[in-house]
Amino acid sequence: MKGPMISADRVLELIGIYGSKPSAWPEGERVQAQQLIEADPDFFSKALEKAQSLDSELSNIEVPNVPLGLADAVLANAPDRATVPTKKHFLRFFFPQEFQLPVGAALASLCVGAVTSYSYAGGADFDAHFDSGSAYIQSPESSFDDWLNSMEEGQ
Amino acid sequence: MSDITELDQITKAAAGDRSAQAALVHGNMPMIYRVAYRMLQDEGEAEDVTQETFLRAWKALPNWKPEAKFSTWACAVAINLCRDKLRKFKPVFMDTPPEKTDMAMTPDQQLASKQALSDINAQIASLPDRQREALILSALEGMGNKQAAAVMGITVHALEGLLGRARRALRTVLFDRTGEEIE
Repeated sequence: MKGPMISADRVLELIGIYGSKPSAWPEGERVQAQQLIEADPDFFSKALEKAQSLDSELSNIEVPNVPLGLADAVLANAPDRATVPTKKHFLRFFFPQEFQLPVGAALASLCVGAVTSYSYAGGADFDAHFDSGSAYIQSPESSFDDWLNSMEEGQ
Repeated sequence: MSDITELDQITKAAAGDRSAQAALVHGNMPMIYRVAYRMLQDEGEAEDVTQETFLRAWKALPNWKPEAKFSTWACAVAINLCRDKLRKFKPVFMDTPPEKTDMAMTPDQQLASKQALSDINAQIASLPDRQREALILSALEGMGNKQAAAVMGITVHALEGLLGRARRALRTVLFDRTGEEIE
C-alpha cells in the first residue's frame, strides 16, 4: 500500500532541516524521500552536499564526557527502601501486624457467634429446652404433642 | 531488550529498589548531562542541572503517570532548569572549548581544526536559545522529531522551523571560513 506522496520541495526541506542523513529524517517520510532522491539524484545533489558539509562539522563536535562520580552522587539522593512510606490498608489500623489478621478474624467470628447464639436462645433456659428436645428426638415413638405437654408441665 | 517495562522500573525505583534506580540513572543521566553541558557550556552547572533533575525525578516517581517516556520528562525538566540558569546569567561563550588533539595532524592542521571547532561551537552558543535547544536535541543528541518537540513543549512543525533556521545560521559559518558558497 502506498502512503501519501511526498513532494520534491518537501524533500529539500527535510534535507535543510534534518541534514543529509536519511536516518535523521522523520520515519514517516524517510522511504518516500529516499525513493524520490534515487529517481532524480542530480536534482538533490547540491542540497545534499551543502547539508553534508554541516553534518560533518557537527559530527566533529566533541561529545562531553559525564564526570566520574556523578552517577553515585545522583544515586545517593535516591529514596531508600527503608525511608519510602508504604501505603497502609485501613485494616492495619486494627491489625497492625499482618500475621495477626487471620487469628484476629477467627477470634472475632467465634465471639460474635457465641454471643448471638446465647442471646437468641434465651440464656440458661436453652439448656433445659435443648435437653427436652433431645429426649424427643431420641424417642421417635412419642408424639410432638406429648413433648409439648411435657414442656408446658416443666414450666 | 529487557522484559521489564519502564513503568515497572519506575515503580521499583520509587519503592527504593537500588538496581532499578541505578538502571534509570545509567540509562538517562548521560543524555541529560550532555544536553545540560551543551546548553550551559559549563561542567559544574551541567552537574547541578543533572542532580536537580534527578532530585525532582525521585520526588515525582511515586505518583508517576506513564503519559510520557521518562527520558522525555527528565530532558524537559533539565531543559527548563537550563533556561532558568541562562536567564539568571548570560554565559561567557568559550573561546577555547575542550577539544581532542589529533597527533596525526600537522600543527597547521591542528590549528585549523581547533579554529573550525571553535567557530562551530561559538556559532551554536550564539544561536537564539530555542534554536540552540532544537539543534542540540535533534542534531547532536539524535532525538526523534516528536520526542524533541515534546521535550521543548512545541509542535513538530515549530521544531522544524527552529531547526531549519539554526542550520541556515550555522551554514554561514562554513561559508565564512571556507569561502564556499553554501546558500
